[in-house]
Amino acid sequence: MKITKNKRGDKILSVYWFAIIIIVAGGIFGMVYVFYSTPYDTRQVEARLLINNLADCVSYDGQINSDLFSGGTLNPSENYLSKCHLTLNSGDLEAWKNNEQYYMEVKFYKISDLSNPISTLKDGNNNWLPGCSVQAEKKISNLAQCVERSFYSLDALGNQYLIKILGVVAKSEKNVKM
Amino acid sequence: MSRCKLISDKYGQTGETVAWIIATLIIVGILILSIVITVLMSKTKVISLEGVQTDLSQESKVLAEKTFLANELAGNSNDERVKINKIINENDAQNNK
Repeated sequence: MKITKNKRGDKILSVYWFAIIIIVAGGIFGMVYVFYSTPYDTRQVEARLLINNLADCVSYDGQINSDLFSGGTLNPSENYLSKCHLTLNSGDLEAWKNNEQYYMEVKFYKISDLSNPISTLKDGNNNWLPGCSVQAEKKISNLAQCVERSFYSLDALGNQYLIKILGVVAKSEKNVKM
Repeated sequence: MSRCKLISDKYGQTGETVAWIIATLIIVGILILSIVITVLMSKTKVISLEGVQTDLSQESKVLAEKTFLANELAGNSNDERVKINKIINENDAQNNK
């Protein structure tokens, strides 16, 4: 009779089971939170799309846009890129409204001399540029992401150029878990 | 005498308790491992086209088309086209490690 009355073992086991359930539930919550709280990083794709649009602005049908030439030589105006009809509206966050999140650079090289550009076009916030050289060895996700692509084009006289376009996208707050 | 033996002999309880402790440790260990795996998986949420194994993905077609058209306009020979493509590929690879 005394054996059947003593049920302290069952009560202790119930508490233990509740503790295990809480630990497992906490683990599942932790896993879901860690995975879904990390945003997708689309900055490299954004930078490539930016480069494609700049390439369309600078060169069309295999030839450099005639607006970039004056007097037969490559001499674009400094604010040429602002005429490319690119809407770089990154005002999602209050901090971005006064701090542009993009930078772009277009360099023209003659095929015969690939080390010295004959002309450079720039637009955007050049404060993001130093981050590109820092990431030369290893990518750091908190810094702006830089993509450089190049292509070949001609002018109306048939002179050959290599055009290098650098696209830099910051927007770390939206693409990286800070 | 038999009543004393019933209370003093607790090998069964000890054995079962140890089994439950080990089971708890295994469960916690598996949970920690799962969380570590989840953290590693969350770091792969970077959408990049650099490793895409395709000659002309939709995205890179724009610049490749411009290069192709320029080569056609210039009337470049195959050797010249190869040389220009090599310069372009080397530059892209160097700057987008």
